Amino acid sequence: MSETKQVELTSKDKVSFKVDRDVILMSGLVKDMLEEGDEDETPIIPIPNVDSKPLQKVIEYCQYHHKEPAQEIEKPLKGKIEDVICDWDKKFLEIDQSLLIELIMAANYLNIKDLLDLTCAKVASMIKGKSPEQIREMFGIENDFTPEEEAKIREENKWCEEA
Amino acid sequence: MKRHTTEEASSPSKSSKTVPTAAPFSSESLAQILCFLHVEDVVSASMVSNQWNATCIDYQETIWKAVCYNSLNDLEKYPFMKNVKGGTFDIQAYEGIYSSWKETFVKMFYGQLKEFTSQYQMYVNEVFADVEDKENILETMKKRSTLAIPYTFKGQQQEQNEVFGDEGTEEKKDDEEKDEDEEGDCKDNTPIGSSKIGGLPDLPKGMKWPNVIDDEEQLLKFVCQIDLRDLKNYHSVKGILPRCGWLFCFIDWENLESDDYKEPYSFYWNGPIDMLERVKPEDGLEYEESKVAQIQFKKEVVQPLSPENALRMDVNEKYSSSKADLGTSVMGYPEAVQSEDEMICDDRYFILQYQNMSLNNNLVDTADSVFYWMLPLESHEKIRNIKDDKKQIRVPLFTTFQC
Repeated sequence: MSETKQVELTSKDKVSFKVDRDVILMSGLVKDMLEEGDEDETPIIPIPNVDSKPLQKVIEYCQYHHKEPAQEIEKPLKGKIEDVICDWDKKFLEIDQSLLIELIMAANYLNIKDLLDLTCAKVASMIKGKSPEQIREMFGIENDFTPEEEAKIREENKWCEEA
Repeated sequence: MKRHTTEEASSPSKSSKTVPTAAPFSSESLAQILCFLHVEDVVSASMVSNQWNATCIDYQETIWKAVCYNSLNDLEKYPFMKNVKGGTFDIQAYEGIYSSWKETFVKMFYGQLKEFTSQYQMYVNEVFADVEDKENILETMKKRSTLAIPYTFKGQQQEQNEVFGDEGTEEKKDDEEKDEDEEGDCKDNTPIGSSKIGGLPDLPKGMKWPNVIDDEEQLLKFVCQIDLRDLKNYHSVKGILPRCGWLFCFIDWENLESDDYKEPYSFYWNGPIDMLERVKPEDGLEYEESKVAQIQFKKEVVQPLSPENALRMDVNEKYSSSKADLGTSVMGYPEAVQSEDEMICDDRYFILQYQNMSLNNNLVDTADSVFYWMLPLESHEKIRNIKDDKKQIRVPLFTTFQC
């Protein structure tokens, strides 16, 4: 029985993960890099933009959805994201907010579309129906509009608020 | 180096990255997120912060394409759509959120185009390149475009008609030209400090009209002044120019085609508006004043296939020839630059484009000349950060023109 080919990913904080080559091919970035490299070796691929914690989650996602392809998430979201994703994804998303944001960045960097959609849809679900003030509070964002800017934007958007 | 397999990787990482609270999402990621939302949620997101607002504008191709397309089956829910059916279309409110292709899309979808030209078809093909039922959408739009649902715009019908190629504006234009002829030449009655092309500059008090280097009696031609607050929406995206103050542009017109030509004189000044005063050339000095055209900057209502992220410079219509004018615009990309001229743009940041027709032929005598003002990229920081004692900054703009 032939041994499954593996790839070694090295995170930003210098933690290495060995992962099956077929699994990590879900990443467009890794796939491109592997196509350029030598087939016979176990390639070491540095992932300098992603810390070990989100990278570990990324691998976890790929390992599952490598066998169980993710279903496309509807746009726009009509309700909560939990209503349209599988149980495994629901559990996968039970993470704190900072890790969720890191996962978005990791999925974007590694070019894993399904994971990017899942994590972005999760954040979109959190934003849905919230006021600007509630969104700021949720993500700790500073309101950096001047009063004049804010008044102008509110005026511009009045048509939507009145609907 | 620490090493473990994925099975072992359950141990916590050394440190969890702290997400900066000021901007937890990159604009790119934010754009991806907003694609999952309805119109009203995107609008709400645009009011969160400058970054979020800028993302909604800068990534309109990503966000609004998704939002509009996703809403195809749900359009009647939105107020501007109700208004369309009721016979009015509140473009003023609509324009605050939508711009560029979205407007074209909605107008096409709601049958407000009189003709479904090949140009629009190309545009739809581009917008829906990756959509499976593109052909059905195209057919629907074609049908609707001939329905000619009656509508009126509140306020800006003139602009819309120009953009979408409708007829019926010529008469009004002729009337205005007639009015102008009756008024006579070169009366600059624009408000002090307003953005304008031509006329007389509103310089900081005490500042003399700039002259050609080494020749104090040869005045530079005043081209334009821009109140940078007018460009605020653009700045929040790119941050290239200061958010307030004025940019003044002069040119050594007399020597433009001679070996003595010096580079254009452009400077930035920031201070209270009451420190500006309208300056006339000193008595005895020869100067031919251009007609003045006040400028309004608006989020661009873009024709299909034209560049994104430009602000339309809306010069008084009577100064603009609708057919011959290749366009006056700021930022974004120069529209008429081609072939070898593209190389000129490579290391420069495009600032301003205008056609001489806007200046009633006073600046240039070739009818189809177009000026491009470009900023060398390496000078961005200088513009933002360097001020001398007089709060005056020389802006190293580069000009070229094409005939």
